[in-house]
Amino acid sequence: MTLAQETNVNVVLRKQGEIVLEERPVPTIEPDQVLLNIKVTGICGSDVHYWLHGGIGDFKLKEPMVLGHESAGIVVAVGDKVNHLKVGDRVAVEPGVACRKCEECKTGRYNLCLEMRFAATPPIDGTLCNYYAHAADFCYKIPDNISLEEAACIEPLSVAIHAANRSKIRSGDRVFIFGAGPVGLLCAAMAKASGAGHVSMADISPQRLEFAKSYYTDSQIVLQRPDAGESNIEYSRRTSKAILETEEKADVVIDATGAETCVQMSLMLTKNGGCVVLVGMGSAVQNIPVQEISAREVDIRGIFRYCNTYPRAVKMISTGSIDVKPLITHSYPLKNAVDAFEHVKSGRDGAVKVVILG
Amino acid sequence: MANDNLSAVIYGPKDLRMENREIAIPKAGDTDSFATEVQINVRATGICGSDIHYYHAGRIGNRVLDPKNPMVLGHESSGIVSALGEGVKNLRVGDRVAIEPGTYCKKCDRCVEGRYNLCYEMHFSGSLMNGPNHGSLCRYANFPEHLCHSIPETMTYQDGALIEPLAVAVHSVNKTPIKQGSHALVFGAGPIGLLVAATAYAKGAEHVTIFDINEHRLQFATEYLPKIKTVQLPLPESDTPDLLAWSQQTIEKLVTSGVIDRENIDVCFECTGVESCIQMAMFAARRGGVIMLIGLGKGRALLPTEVMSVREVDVRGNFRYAHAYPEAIELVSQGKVPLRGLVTHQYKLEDTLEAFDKVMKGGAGVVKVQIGDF
Repeated sequence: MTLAQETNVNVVLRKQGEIVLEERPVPTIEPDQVLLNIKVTGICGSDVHYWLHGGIGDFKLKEPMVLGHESAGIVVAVGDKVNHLKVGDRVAVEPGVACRKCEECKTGRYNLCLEMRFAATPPIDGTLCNYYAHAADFCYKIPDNISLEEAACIEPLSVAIHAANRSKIRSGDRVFIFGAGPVGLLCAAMAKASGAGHVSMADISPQRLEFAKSYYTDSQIVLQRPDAGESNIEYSRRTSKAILETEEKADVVIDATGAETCVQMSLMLTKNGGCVVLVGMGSAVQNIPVQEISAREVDIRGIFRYCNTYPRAVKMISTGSIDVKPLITHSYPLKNAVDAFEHVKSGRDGAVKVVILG
Repeated sequence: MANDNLSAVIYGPKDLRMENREIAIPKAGDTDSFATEVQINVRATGICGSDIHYYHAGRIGNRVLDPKNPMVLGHESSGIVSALGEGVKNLRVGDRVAIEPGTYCKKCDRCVEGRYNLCYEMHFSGSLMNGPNHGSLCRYANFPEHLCHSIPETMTYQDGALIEPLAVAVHSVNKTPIKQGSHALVFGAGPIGLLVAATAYAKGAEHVTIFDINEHRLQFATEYLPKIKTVQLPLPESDTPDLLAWSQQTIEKLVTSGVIDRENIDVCFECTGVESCIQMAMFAARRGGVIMLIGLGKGRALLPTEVMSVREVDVRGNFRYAHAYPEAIELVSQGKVPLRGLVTHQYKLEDTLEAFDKVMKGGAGVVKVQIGDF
């Protein structure tokens, strides 16, 4: 096998706060794997979180780890048992490989598999490198009319697809979304693709909402910060009452912030019998107005990553049901990966999705 | 048959008066045949936690009793049809019925999609919302014909008056994935918890474990449902600094000691409304499991939202029932849900105040108290 380049540069989080570029050997592949030349990787909030905080919840960085999990690339070698891919195929990479045998996997909820190996969740190395070995059945060939940049966005798009699946958005539904970051925006796109009649979006940043105006949302609400000394629940009651002066209650409310106030407001803004989907991951413990759940039958569903989304995402982008291109605002070459991370951290220049090109 | 309409009327906290009210003529049907009423001679009425709440506190949430506008209590009733409004098609005088006590508008989006329990204009017996709505703790009450469900001769009036809380159980269980072989936990061994457990078994659940702080209630649960496993929970100290941590530790101890087989717990039914129980329910469910919140309590709880995300544990709510009476009656008449033994105390209508005091005092041996002319 001759590779386009023999070096395998990896973007490694050596420890909290320290990202370095390292050369590592090109991996060998198992019979059921393919070797990918990674071409595009998007940066996710979780990558930045590991960099800045050294861990997320119970997942703690104990040794150096390669970052990145939102990738697309080109097949450069296939294992003996691989039939559906060949050298030269362009693929989107689903970064979490499940065991396929446990009860969760067998019932189709493989995102909950206990043996899940997810790229860039310690201790599994991520995809920000030149060459990456991956289970072939978690690589999805893309048609010519999808670029590798778009294919890299299938990972965050999958979060939005899973959220829509769990909430069962139906034609004509009113959907309200808290959070105008990339995930919230992709949820808006997915809501529209699912037939939502009206999508409202709220955020504390007027700049983010300015972008949202031209991206699958019908109304935008700027949220003020809580008053000094105001408790979260007081803020939430006051603010949701104000929102309901110009907005109707929604069938589905998606929280893409994780902020306690937004979770509280999500419940208050849902119609009787509707559903709240928690996409954002915030504090592990939050003060929840449960009477909205018990007395109005508003369900809450959280999501953990996604399952069974990649094939659909490929079709949606290919047929034009969803356009993810506007979200890709900045790109950096692999050797400037640290600059890319700094850019995401600062959020400057209207950054939505920043990608790294290999 | 009595020709007075002795009724239990609540004016304010601890101010429940037995009064003789009008025996109203059941309303005739019009083009809106929804309104065709029958008059029921009420023969049994169960007392519910919400009745007690009005009696004890004079309010529920921010709905407060107004002594100038008192309300007849009662919503768990059965009786016999005593008169027909003009245009009644499906019932006759002498039919024995279980009463579904909530009149809905039939026009709003919730009604139209079959979730009439969530109707914005719901008038529910014995509730102040859109009210006061006079209930059925009386001798004669009128209800729309379609809300009066015939019960077979094999069901007593006591059984008929248990259909209302059973409908809550049926509606709740149907909204969860309970099926053949399921494992469920039930928090709270009061009438609702017991009926939820019985319904879960009727729907194929293989393992049900019920939790309570009260050993007498758990003893009763074993007599009522011999297959059920019981666990007595400790009560947290009133000055427990971190209730959530207490709840989590309590469940972890039960998991480590093998009392709870967590990764097999499909559904946790929360029937108390107590914050620590809601928390415990969340910590006790499997990945991909479901928590069903039935109990109504303080209204706000500190919850482990991380469990909702990382373990995809869904939290669903239940509010009363919609179209559950036919199934509830069927489950009872087929013997799939037992009711024997649940009614532990019976009082005549004249002795309503004694009945309320009995429920308020509670104590060993009090499960469901009913009032009526059985």
